[in-house]
Amino acid sequence: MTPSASLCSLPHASHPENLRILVILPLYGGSLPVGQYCVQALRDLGHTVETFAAPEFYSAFCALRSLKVSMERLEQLESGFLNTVSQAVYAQAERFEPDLVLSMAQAPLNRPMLQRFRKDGILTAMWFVEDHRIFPYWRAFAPLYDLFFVIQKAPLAAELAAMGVRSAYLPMAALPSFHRPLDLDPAEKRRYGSALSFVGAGYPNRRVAFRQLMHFDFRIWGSDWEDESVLSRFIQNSGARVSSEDCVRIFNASAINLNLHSGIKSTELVTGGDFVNPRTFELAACGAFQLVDHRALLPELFAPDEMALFRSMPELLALIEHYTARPEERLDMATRARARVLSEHTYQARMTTLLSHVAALAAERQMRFPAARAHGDTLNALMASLPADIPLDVRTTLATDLADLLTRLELPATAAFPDVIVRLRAQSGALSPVETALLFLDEWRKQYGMR
Amino acid sequence: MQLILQLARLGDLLQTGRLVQSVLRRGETWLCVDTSLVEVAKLAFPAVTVRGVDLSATGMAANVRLFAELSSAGFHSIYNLNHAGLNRALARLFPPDRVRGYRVSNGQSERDVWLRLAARWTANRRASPVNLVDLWGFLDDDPVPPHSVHPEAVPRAGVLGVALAGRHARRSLSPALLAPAVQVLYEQQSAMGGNPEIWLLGGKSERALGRELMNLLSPTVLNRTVNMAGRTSLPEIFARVGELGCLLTPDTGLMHMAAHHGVPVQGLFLSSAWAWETGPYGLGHTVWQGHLPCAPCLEAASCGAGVLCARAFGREWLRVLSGKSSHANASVTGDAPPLRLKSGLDEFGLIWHGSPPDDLRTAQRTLAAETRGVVLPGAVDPAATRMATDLYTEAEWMLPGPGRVPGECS
Repeated sequence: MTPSASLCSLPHASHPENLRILVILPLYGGSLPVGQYCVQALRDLGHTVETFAAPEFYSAFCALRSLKVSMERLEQLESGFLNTVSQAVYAQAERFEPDLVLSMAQAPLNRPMLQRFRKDGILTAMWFVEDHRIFPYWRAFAPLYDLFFVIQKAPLAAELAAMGVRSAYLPMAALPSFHRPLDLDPAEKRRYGSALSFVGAGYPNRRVAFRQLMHFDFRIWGSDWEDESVLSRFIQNSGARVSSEDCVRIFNASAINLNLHSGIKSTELVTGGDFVNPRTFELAACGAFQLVDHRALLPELFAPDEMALFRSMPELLALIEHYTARPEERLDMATRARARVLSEHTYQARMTTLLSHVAALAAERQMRFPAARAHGDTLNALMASLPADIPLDVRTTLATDLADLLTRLELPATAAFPDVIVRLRAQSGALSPVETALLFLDEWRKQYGMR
Repeated sequence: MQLILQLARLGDLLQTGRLVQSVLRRGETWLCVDTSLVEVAKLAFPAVTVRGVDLSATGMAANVRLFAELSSAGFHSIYNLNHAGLNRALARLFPPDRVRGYRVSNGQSERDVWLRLAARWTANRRASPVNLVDLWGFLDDDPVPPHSVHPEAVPRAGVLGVALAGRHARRSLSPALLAPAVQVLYEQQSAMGGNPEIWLLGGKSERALGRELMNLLSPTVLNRTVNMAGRTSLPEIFARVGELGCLLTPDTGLMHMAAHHGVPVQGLFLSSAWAWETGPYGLGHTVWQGHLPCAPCLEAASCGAGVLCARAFGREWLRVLSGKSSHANASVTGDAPPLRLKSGLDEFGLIWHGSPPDDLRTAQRTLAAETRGVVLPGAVDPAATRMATDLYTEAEWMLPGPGRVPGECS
């Protein structure tokens, strides 16, 4: 793919449906919630999604680090650990038979397993929601993915193209069902609200920049603010990590949300970088007003009347003064920003774009996408095939139970019978009568060679 | 407050300059060194509070007092530069999450990803991409620019200093090979004006070597030569080196002193000495680098080739040194002159001009710089892509590393 073709310009003719997608979450970190939002969006789009729950392996990794062995031995063990986790991903994929393995940044898929997926003809994609300059290890791994989605453009697109990597620009987004306006009660407004707030980690540029905001009613939320003495009285909850749910409450409760992108240099407070962070979209989706630093890729995502931008600290200070005195302007701008996110910048939209790229690749490779598998009946067809002498009340109850089951399994109403069975087998604990009946029916069909 | 733990030798101490200057910008900085190096550390880094750790068995009482002082000083960042057991032990005075470099966390030894990568690329020393000054300097996230570390060494009239020997005899030229080089450089210094002296520098153990060298010098040169070996304290030598017009030296602490002062160095690098790792830092230095296929060798291993690399510093080299000949830097036979390398600086740190192109080194350097946020030309070269596959493992790609907020793309 040429760089120009990578900028979301592929034909969207193919909107694949009913895909099986295995989403590989990372062991830890900021791309974890992004992965969870993607899972929800893919399900909203009607696909059958399983996640590889890598975070559950994180404690094992931490246990390795408590072994008190030599540094070299630890590094060997870490390598072995990652190999085991990667094999676990592959094992899950063997059972689930996905059409696509979608990895989030830092997903634990090692080189041998990526090569095996390629050999097996299972498409792999990564959404690399990282700054490629800060996290340069992509050079060793991007070539192993069939598709590599990034949040930056030049020069990354050209570098990936030179490496033979098929890539596409896919900016961050928001999940409207989660990032939404909230009707907070007075206690919540007191707890989470302030005239000016910031949610994020204590990067060097922020530590210095925020010293100029100490005369405001200012709250700083988030982790990694250790040893910050000057700003200590503004840091909430002693710098504890803030849950995604609380982020939304803070966004809603704050008059002005400050969104200063991170920078690793304390001498460069407003970095003027390229990519746009998730917070920009999440704040907008919440209908929350934000002041965000200018980014090279921001103008194509939001119009000037949708987002108030600053390029320097003096500009920021002036904007805070301006908008503090003008709540109507804040509301108008936030409303427009929310409308823009809802129309263009949702995770559902991003996943639609991502899957159209995957479908285009599958078409080029003349792959069946979704893969040919024994789809069998949908549950609706199954209901229709029931003997006519079943009483109506029993039939109605069964239909309701099946609909509830699909909701519980997070499957679309059009889910194929085999997909329901796959999800049922993955359930833990005792199954309900209707679940057991479906598994029984599947076994019966297999035993008698029926489809 | 910040603390740098540098318990290694003189040369290592002086190669800590970029890190020291970088850390100093952020406030009060302390430096822990071997007690024998305290005075020279104070001279080299006058803005730093220096403390000496007694590395001998008898120093326990003094060390207990020092450790109590360090423990209560309230350092928010500690830079531990070496993997040695002494360093590891000392670093345990502090919470591990405040220690950069080498640390022990819950009893488990660890190192920064940056040092992990360094361990990988030094597996092939011949393609070493990063000078030690820069390696330590980049333990700081935003180190001072390379050109501000040391003054530029501009050719100047003045005393010719001669360091008699490196720590390992194999890395030094014999008096027979050294004497004619002294003669050549004396003539060059004389041509710049005055009637310069020649100071033979070293410790007590090199004094006899100095006498042996003097026996081989011409009467004119001998008349201007002073054997200072073993006659000066370290602080005195530090001051004297700053007065030199030029220093002829193997890879020694004296060489790094000269670089620190901006005194032009004529470095003799053979055997295990490798300019790309520990060459004199800054502009204006020359290194004569032995480049047989076996270079650089291991200090600890015996040489099976009879230190063939020393033969490169013979007659043809003297012709090059004196400007009577230039050579193509291409031959790798034992008698061919060493490579003449001229120091340079790029955005990332020290580089050397004059060696044949080395794609592997270039690729590794580009990648190394990129991991520390410095973009050098060549990042898109296929060689860099191939090298990335060797340099980066799954651990960097998937696991949290110290000093980084994982996955925080905001």
